[in-house]
Amino acid sequence: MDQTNNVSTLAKRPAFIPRRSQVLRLMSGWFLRLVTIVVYVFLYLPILIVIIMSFHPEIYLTFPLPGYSLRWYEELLHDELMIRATLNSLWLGGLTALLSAIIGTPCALGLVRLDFPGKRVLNTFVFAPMIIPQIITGISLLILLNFIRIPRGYPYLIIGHVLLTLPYIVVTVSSQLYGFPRDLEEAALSMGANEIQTFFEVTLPLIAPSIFAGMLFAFTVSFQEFVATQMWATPSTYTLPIRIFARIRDALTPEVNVVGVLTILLSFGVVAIVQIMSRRGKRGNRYGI
Amino acid sequence: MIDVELRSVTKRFGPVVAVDEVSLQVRQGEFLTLLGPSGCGKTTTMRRVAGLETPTSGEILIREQCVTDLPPYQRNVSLMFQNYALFPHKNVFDNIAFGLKYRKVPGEERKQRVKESLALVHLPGMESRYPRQLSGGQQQRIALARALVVRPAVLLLDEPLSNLDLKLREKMRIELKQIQEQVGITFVFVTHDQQEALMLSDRIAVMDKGKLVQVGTPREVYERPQSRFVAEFVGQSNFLEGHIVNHCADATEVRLSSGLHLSIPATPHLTTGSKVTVQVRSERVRLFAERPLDCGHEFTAIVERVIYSGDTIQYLLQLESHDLLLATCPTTSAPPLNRGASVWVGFDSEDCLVLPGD
Amino acid sequence: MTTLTARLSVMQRLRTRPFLRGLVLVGPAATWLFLFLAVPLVLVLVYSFWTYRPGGIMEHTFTLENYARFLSQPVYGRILWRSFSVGLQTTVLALLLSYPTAYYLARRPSGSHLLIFLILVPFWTSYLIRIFSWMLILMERGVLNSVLLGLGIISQPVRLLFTPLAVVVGMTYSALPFMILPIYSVLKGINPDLIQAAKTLGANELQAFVEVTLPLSMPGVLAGSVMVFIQGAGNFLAPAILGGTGADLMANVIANRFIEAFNWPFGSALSMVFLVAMLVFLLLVNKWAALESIYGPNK
Repeated sequence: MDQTNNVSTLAKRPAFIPRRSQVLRLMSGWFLRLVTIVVYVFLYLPILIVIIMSFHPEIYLTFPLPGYSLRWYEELLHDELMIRATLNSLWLGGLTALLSAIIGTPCALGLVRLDFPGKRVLNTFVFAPMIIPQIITGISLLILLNFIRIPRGYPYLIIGHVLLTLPYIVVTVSSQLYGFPRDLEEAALSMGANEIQTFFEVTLPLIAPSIFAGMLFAFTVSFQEFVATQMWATPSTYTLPIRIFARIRDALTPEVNVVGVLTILLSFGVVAIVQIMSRRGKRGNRYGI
Repeated sequence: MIDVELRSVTKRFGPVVAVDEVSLQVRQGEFLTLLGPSGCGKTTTMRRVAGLETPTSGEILIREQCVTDLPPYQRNVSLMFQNYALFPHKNVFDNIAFGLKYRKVPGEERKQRVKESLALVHLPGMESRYPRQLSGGQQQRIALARALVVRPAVLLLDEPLSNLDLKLREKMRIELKQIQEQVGITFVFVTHDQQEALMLSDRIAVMDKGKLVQVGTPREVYERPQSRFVAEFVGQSNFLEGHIVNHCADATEVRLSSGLHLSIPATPHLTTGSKVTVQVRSERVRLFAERPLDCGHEFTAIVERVIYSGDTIQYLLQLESHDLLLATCPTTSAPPLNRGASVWVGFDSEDCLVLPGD
Repeated sequence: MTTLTARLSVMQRLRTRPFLRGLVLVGPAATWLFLFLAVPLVLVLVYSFWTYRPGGIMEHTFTLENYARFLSQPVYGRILWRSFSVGLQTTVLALLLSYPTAYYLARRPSGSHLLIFLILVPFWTSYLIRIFSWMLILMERGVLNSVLLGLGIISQPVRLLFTPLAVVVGMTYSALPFMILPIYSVLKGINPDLIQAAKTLGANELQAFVEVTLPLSMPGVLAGSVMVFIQGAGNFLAPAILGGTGADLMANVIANRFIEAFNWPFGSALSMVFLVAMLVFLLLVNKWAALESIYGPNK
């Protein structure tokens, strides 16, 4: 009598768990796969639609396409305003990436290796631009620079974009610094190189990949930034996203699709480069240890 | 000539005293080992000498010049690391020539010296290879070449062989010693492996909890340990607790807590009644089938446990007095005994060493 | 004994004073952030107490009218509430879709590189373009309506664009990578031995998940949720492009004050209210579930 009681208590489980765990495992496997597929399709459908629509031959967009044409690609090449905006975005992005790297790399070094009062505060502020809604970052810088009578335009853009991209550099460089073998630096120090020489001969070459990746991310973020940028730019300094937004507002969208394709390609390229770099780094067993 | 001198060197990390008033002199051309368990402060002491740890107090002199406040690159020292620390982005030549570059050695001489140091470590012609293309043993040798090519006053080695597998380690030990003798540079070697220390050193400095406990030749440290810690850390010993009951002209009688009486070499400086620990090395405990005639002490015992180690067999023996003794015998000496076997155990008075009891 | 004459150079001073070293390394970034983030925010606070005169003139006289206006005109409170509500909806929807996906990705023993790559591409694609793409889908002659018409499911195009639904859909879509990646990263880091241990001790798949995996994945869930919520509540583009006239969120209203109305004091006041509301919300969440765990590695 006692034995059957024990067996039945073992078998008595909460009602929502069927005893057939095999079925459950199978079902959960299928469920996960299904959701994942749905999510991936959901993620890429709009992207594909942008790409497809960029080949639409007419101004009045319809679906399905009545034909295919490179008309808008050509129009974009002659579109003065768009070209100027693209150039603005390109050199702004490059400058931002450079400045961010110059300021952000030592900052990452300091945050990873040193302990000082106010470290937590600094850490919070570094990542604040990622957390604070961009509109607020936009208006606050606007207010400051306006208050000290600096006219809108390039100064605002450069300062603001560096502010917005700093966290990306700090994150990427920090994460590589955490695993960095300190004995390489100690070896250099003991052999006669002082701290600065050691940094440039040993540390910098080895963290260069993450600085480069961070710069790519900074460029991408800057290139695509809109919400805060709209507060800072003047018509002659309009960046590409601002022009695009204006076109969308004016319902002149075909060229927007073409630009969309270009930013998709940009993102694709950046992610591919960074992925390849990190794969090669890991496989090459960089530290020979 | 003293190459390295430490005077009351202390290093504190917050409340923790890692190195406690260590004073030591290392002679020119000597192979000195800092030996001790993990956390004893040996590595920190070495890093103080290298200049990689900021001083708390004490002085460090290298070739009679005070370097206490100098950074590593202004001291004439070299380091060898456990993880080799070869620059992965530079080839072998640039790795080895690194120190020469910062000592402003001209190009031609640089090439020559790199070549010589590669020959010294038996890796000629490797200049253009990269560290990732080399095996662990090869990398360690390049690290040695890099450290030696600058002709430092002292080479500091931080457990450099710990990452190598046993066979390679044994081989490298011999090579390391050979090279040191050949080049004549002072080595300060850090390890927790007491066998390595015994094999390689001219002198051993044993450390425990930040303090220097004993300094001496391997023989001195092994045969005349000055504390229980050293006796326990180096080699295998039996420790028998008791107190002194009688003094004679040439012998002292000790009564163990088990009741057993031992007669050991005279210790006139210890008063009757004082507590002592008698140490007997396990290899000095000999086994006999019958009662031996020429030992200072003979007892009957039963074999409790047998541990076979290839070249030696260890026996854990229980005497009638319920004392336990560990005996290490070479495998070749006699056919192995089984558990429960009854034997005679013997050791001489001279094999007994008195350590202050605590 | 002679002392080597050590040059009392800049190097020497930097070496012996870690504080100076820290200053040199972190100084530029800290200064940048202080000057261009901290000070501006303080200035915003100051502006929120200044007076606005019609015609775009601002007087430096202290007044509480901006805040009074926020409190007295219910439309602003409604918009604040709507921002939070939309943010929460987006977070929940994104979480429901992202968790299973992240779980599936983390469980794969290998070959997830390509799939992660595929998530990263939309992650780094312009937010503007991704929101815009939903215009193409949801507009009257857009993809969705055309497909439904073509399949005969509907006889007339449905009004999907410029609705609150469009805003939520667009925001959820854009939020997915931000939710998937942190959860994936945390799940991937969970020691598989823990699950094995739970199973050998008698838990089945579901119990092991609930008892072990789910709690351990919380830091990732929290990190993703906080990011998505803040992005959602503070969103400008989704309401601007996909939303109708009644769909404005706080960001749009604030922008409007600055760009079109030139009422900087009121815009500043709204910004302050918004920031404080978000801070309070985050603090409440922090009390309930320690947000410390999502702090980056720089602790």
